[in-house]
Amino acid sequence: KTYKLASNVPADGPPGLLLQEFAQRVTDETDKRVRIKIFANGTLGGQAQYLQQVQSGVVEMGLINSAMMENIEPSFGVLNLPYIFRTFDEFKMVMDSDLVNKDLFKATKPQGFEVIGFLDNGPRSIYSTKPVASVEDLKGLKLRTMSSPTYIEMLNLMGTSPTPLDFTEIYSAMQQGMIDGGEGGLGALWELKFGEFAKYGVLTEQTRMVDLIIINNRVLDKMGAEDAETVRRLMKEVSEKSYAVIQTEADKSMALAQEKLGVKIVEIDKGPLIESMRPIYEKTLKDPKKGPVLKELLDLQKRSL
Amino acid sequence: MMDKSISLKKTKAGSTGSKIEAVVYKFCHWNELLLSKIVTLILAVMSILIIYQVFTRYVLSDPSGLSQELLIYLMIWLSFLGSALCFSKGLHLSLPLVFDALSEKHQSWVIVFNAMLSVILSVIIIYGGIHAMEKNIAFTSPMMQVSMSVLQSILVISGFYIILMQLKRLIDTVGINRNTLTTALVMAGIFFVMYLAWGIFQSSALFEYLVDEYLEITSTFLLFGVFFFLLALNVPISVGLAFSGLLALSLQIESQSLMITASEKLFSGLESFGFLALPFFILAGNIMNQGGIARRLIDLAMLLGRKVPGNLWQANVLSNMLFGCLSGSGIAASTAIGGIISPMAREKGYNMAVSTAINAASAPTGMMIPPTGIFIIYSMITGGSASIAAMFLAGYIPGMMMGLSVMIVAYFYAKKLNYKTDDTNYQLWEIGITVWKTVPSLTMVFVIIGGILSGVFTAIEAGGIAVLYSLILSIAYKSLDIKKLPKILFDSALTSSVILFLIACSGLMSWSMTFASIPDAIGEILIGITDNKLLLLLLMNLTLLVVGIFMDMAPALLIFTPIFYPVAMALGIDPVQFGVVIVYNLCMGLITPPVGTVLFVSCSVTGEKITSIVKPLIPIFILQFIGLMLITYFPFFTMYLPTLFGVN
Ligand code: NA
Ligand code: NA
Repeated sequence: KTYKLASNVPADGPPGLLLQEFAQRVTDETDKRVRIKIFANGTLGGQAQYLQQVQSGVVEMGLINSAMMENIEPSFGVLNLPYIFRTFDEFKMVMDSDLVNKDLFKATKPQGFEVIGFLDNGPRSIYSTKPVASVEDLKGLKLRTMSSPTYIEMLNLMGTSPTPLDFTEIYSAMQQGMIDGGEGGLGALWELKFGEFAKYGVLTEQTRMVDLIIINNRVLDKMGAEDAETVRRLMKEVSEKSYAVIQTEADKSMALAQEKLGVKIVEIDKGPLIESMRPIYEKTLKDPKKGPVLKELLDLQKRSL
Repeated sequence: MMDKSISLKKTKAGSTGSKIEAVVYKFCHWNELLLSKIVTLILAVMSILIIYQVFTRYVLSDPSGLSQELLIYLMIWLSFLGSALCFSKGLHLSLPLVFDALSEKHQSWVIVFNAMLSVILSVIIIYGGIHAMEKNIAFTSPMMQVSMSVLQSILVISGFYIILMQLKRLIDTVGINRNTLTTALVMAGIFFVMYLAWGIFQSSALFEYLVDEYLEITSTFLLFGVFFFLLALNVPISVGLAFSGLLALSLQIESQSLMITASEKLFSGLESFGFLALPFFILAGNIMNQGGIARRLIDLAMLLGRKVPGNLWQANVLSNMLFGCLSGSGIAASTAIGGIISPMAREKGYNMAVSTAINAASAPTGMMIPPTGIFIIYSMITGGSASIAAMFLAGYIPGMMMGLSVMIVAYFYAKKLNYKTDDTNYQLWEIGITVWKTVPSLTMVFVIIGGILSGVFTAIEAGGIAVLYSLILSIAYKSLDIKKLPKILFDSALTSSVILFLIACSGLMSWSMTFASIPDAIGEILIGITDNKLLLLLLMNLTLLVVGIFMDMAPALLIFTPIFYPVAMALGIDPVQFGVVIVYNLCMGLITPPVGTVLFVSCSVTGEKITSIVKPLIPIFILQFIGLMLITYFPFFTMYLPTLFGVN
């Protein structure tokens, strides 16, 4: 049987290629009993739209980022907290933990689906058209962000002025000086040519937005135990592979942005930025849905406020 | 607009039937008034909100994240409520080709059939809407943190209103009498038998075989077969799109899920910030119309081009290129500029069908002449292989070629129709007065261009600013009676709803095509036919032209770029050139019936029938097609500027 997997990322970008590899291996290792057909580029709609279809089983699988997931299952919000992962090792340790794989990934079962794996997206940082050398220089910068209350509060706490804009408007908004830059993966400086205007890529590395692979509840049952196990195992392998693939790809793009577009990649002391996020953490701990999960996660990292 | 003011009523006053009819009618009428007030209010609130959004970001430097999201959902509510209203007024666009040739009796059958179809669609939307609300209760919108089920409740509300408004329309046109009721009963019987037959067929071995082995072909036949059948019966294009999409999807999705999915899809089809440009530019255009603002602007263009026959048409094309260049939206250009030109054209005795065609065909040029969002989307699909900067530069020449094609045809039409050139020798002071009168209007162009270029507002927000500026100016000119404002808001709301509802329905049809993998099948067939580069390019162009007939630009671009792009790369075509070719091609699709948003907008602006525009469009279309072939086979036209500026 052929199963549909909806995504809104390009078919030939790193996450798209990883998904294709996953689909191919599933087909091969189940002797074509389970075929996965990918609808990339948002041809089946945006994430909010196909999320509703995975819920009802009209589309069997989908790629949803952790920010979108927070709208339907608030406990995923802890993964979106700024500086919840201060280092790559911390990130990897949490994503391999039972807290994420056993508790969080199954938390959406009542909504009709579960998470079977994830793709790393690399850290999100800040890029700017104005020179930035220290945390002080971030003050007052008009930065584009997603329409998300957490991201807006985070950028406010960093002392910048967050501006929610549609993704497609970033390029021309920087060209026309409506914004001084934005927040996101620095690979975009080369891949989307943001570096033509944003000459400073600042390694603030505040969040890591992961792409989650979701599957409708009934689908795994219908596949039969053996094939379902194969799908889970291969997804896990692809998830682990994604760390290195994304890192290599981002490094390559950043090097090209420096070389061809004259972008400066700036290292910055993250200490004061991490410290400034305290109000978000205090508020999250009081949240009835996110609080307990955050507490467990901080325990896991042996870290307190 | 498209109201054919058919009155086939045969009810005699005083009978019991007519008493019931009168009560029902009164109830419908009262609801219609309420609905009219609501849509007027929503558009007024939206206008204030978008100006507030610019104010908070630019003046207060503290942008309101809420307003953007709120605006999108207000727009969706506006389109659903407004489109329900349009059912009572018969404003939904259709192709009355066959209908007009029918006898009165047969016409009344068709009217009853169409009414029943709308009611069935409403029932599906209500049922699907209720279940979607149940399912999405935990899902909140990111900024407002409002549950999706609250926002989606509009599906259920508008479903009920469509039924009421359709009922009123029925009473207005054929009346509720024994004939109507008999026809309705017979049709209901036919619908029911067809439904049962479809159910039996679905459980047959043949059905399973067709869906398993020939899904693409079966879906394609069902989709287009049903669509053309309904179009021939004068069914509103939007309803026809929705039904053909639903039927094609029913091959793969069982009925309950299908109704929910379809309702969600209709709602989410409009969840895009880009569509907001539409209601605002329509409103701004209507205000300018009343306020005589742009008229002064066009007076100037006419004075400068007075030696060219049909100079109003030339002014239309030039203004569309200029305005579309700003807004990046063909829809916005055709309403804003077309809205001003068309009353002048009527006054000067210009052929209105040709005027409509010229406005429609020149409006999409702004999507080629940068800055334009559609190139950014293409660049994103290619993963950045075609850089945005290169795309922008590459679009200039093809965009101007597209405009030039219209200008040439306009010139010959004017010659043929013997339009006089203006040979008056104007005194310098006369010219001076015309120029002086246009200063405030010209300032508007500068405010909009300058505002976008200096980053005060985005091209979409420019619509809101245009509303504000034209309102202030009309009041200053004392040419606009403020009491007329609710009427202007109401008219703009209806015009927007017709088109937005159509976009939502065509979104459902596009989705059903993707869901059945029809685009993939097309890609495979093309590569199977030939590996000759020139021939493949021609085939891809022809396919896209056909696709453009039925699909709106954005879905067509999103669906077909990933299919054709790898083929083009294998043929060694530059990603930038290929992108411009695709966009140019799909721009042509914006003016081809039955699904051509820019065409619809232009027709609703002038009140011309779609069918009467087709003929004058043909020569323009041929010239534009020649332009398409030039940019396909000679990379010079697209690549010259990017190469000159060293961007690639
Ligand atoms: Na443009
Ligand atoms: Na079309």
